[in-house]
Amino acid sequence: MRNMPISVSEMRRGLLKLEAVEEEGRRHTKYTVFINDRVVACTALSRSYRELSDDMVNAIARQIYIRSRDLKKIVDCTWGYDEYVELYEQSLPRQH
Amino acid sequence: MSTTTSPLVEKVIVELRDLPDERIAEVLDFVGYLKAKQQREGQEGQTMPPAFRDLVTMLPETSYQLRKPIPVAVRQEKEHYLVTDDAFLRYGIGSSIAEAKEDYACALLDYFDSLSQYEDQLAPRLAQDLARLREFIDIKG
Repeated sequence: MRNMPISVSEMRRGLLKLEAVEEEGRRHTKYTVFINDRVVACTALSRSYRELSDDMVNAIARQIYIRSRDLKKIVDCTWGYDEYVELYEQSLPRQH
Repeated sequence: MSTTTSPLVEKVIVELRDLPDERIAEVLDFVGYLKAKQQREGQEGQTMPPAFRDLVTMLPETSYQLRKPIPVAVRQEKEHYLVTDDAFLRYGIGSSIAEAKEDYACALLDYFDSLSQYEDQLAPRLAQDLARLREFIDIKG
């Protein structure tokens, strides 16, 4: 597992591995994640900062409904879109 | 003055001697990370206040109006403030609390715009977010 802080450009590459659509927002760059043509998550990266603190990584992970340690695996290239889809489905409230 | 080296440190030194340069560089990087972490934790323990609750009461654009304040948590990090909420999971960053709250409000409006743009394709959780955001945000004109 990585020990160094995650940079914004590393996180961007990770989000693009999720086939997220990238668009410029007001101050942040927005990433919209799709599964089967449905929008399942929206996240954003600040354009003002180069490095992400642990709390920022946690915030981004929450926005895409996964744990931050799983997001780090995506950023570190171990995991990709297919793994994300599984994690996303696990995050859904169970139907009774 | 005599110095003593612990058996563990001696063992590490012996191990390091046999490593190629790039592996030594990795070890040194890791040691640097540990030192920074230790220093950060020491500083946090002494001076970093816990997160406190606050309200975002304004939006940065006149074409949008906030109907009611949004509760947020403000946390001071090493060089900036981080504002987050539990309702919409957005965050903002800034060198002051006011700047971080404004950044948060921009992120919230970006989220509102994205959800509105993809309204017909939203997963249930996001459709709920859009409905709740419309209770907070009014578009003028």
